[in-house]
Amino acid sequence: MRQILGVLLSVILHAGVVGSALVYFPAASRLINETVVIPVDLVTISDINNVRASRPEPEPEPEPEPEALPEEIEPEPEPEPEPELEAEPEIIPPAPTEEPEPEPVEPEPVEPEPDPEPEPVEPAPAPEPRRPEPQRLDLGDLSQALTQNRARGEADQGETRNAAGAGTAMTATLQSMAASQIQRCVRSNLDAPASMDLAVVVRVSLDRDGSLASAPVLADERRILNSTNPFLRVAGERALRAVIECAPYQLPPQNYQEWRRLEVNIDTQARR
Amino acid sequence: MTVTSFLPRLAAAIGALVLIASLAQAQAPLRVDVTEGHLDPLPIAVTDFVPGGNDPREVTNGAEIARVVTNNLGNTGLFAPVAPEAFIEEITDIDLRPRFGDWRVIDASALLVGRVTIDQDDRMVVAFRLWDTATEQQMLGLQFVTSPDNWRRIAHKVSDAVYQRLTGEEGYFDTRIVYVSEGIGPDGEPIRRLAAMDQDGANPSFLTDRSYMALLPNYSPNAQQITYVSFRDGQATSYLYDLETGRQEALFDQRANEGQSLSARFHPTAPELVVSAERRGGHDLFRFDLRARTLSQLTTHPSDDVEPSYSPDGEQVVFSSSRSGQSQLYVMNADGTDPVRITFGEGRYTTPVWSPRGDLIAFTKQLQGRFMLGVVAADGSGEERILYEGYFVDTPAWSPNGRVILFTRGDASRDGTRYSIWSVDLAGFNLRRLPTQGAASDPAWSPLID
Repeated sequence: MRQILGVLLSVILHAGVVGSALVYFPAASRLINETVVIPVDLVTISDINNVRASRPEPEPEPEPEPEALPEEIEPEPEPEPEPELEAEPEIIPPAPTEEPEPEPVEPEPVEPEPDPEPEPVEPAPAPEPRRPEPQRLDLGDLSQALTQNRARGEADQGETRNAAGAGTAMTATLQSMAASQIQRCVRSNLDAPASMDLAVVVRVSLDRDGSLASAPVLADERRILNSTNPFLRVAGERALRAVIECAPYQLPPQNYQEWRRLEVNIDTQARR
Repeated sequence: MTVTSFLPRLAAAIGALVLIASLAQAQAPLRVDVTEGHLDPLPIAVTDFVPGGNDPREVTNGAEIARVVTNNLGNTGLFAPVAPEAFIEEITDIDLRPRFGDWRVIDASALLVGRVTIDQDDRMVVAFRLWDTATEQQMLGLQFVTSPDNWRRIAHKVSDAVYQRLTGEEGYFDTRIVYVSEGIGPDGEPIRRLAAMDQDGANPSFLTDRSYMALLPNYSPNAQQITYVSFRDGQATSYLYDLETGRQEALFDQRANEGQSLSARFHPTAPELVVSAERRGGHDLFRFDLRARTLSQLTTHPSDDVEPSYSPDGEQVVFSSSRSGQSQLYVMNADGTDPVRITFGEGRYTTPVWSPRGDLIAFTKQLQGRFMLGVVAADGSGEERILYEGYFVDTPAWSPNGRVILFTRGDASRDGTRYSIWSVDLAGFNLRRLPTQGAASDPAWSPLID
């Protein structure tokens, strides 16, 4: 009995080790990726793949090169056909023109000069986006707007070249490549009070050409954007804006699986 | 434990391990740390506010408001207004979503649109929306109601709202500045009169006449009063000046007191002042109760203690004193106890003013014939930071949000020193001359007016 147990244990453990190693070693999947990915033509893709941001994340599968390609080449399933922005302006429900609250309008007698006092009248409620779901990016417009800015990529290319052969150092290199590109668009929060913790994390999904696959999202978004600390809210918005404005990112396509999703930790006060 | 119960568990554990490993492999995003950013001004497009009706003043006021807002934001150094000639989309209705692509193409990160409507009762409604062109979200939507000739203050309030929304801190546009207008009389004698104006130089007026000299104004927390040093009675005396009524009164009875009194500053919440006055040949600090009109002594050191300024919570007072030889800065409790020296550098440290944020103290320093404007942490920790250095520097005054400092700057000219008021931000950038009419000194910045 004891022997059987020993053998069984041994078999299971070995199988487990081999099995987990198969899945776990990143090199295995990268090899596959590399062979499949190389023929992709990036130039033509960029015009077509401005996928609507609202599309759900593609499944987190490691294998799916075959289907990934067609999806990028034909712009088929636009998830939600949005109207061209140019064509028809969306109508926003007009702000309530009369003061919704009774108090605000009446003059108070405090002014030193003869000015009638402007009372901040109630926040015109944010015009609801026509659609119920949160506003998404129109990447078409975005990439148009940003193509001019792509010129500044020399340093990154240098890094790419240096790093091309070194598989193990790649993650660190990718991190610094991405960081250096995002950093250009990040507005520092150094002017906020020193004692505040204004670190935010932005989750980014990228397409193979380095453009945004969906609108970036703040980790803990509700807490940050509804924070009573206006500096934190601004830090969150600055982070989102930075990630959008600096796209598309120039990262080595052969490592796409590694940078397909980024978790960008932005803390411009970290060093003081 | 039996084999039969053990094996399935082991298998399950290994299975879970493999599953977790594969999930981690598939999903782990690349972690990127960004610890630096730039401090470039944010590009913002401010369009002329569109008319909401048929009153011709809607058009002119709308354009003027946009002009004042643009000017305000641009002057902060934090925003770079995009030239209107570059605009592609013409905004005609602020309730339509802008074509964000048109604004991103011209590098406008933020877009401000607005509408002016004047109704039959001659009430002007100014509504505006602030958009983030990257996320395509509305960041702010507000409206103000006022009379049509009040458009300038509305422009300042719009500026404050936009500034606060985009930076996280309060604005400082709907504020006034009192200063000393410097002139020369017919016989070459100096003339120093109090003057007041909007923060951007508009609506200037004089508060005192030429018959006596006035110096060193300071605002009360509600912006209704100032203190200043008047030579009305022949020697320097602290006066209280009510800006609404124009009424003035000396804080102390001159006959009862022996010497001059200088630079009273208001307590941030309580009805009292802290002031330096001369007694028995030396200057000491006193608290003046504005209700009881009583004076209580805070310091008794034989050396001169002058230039007191409250911390924003009113708990402490910073002042300059020569008790260690050359003038240095000290912080004590508001009741006069526990004075602690906070500056130790070379040179003479004077004119300390506590930041409204509470973390910093601005000062001027004289070293080897040069003058400097600097800030130091209120608890004395850390290095002092010099923001400006020049021929002559005096009387720092904080913006209400604590991120800009006004100061008197003197420049040597053929006929003596020429004074003007300048602003600089906390990083030492964005040095600008305040648009006063003629020579000016001794700025005091009001709190936000509301």
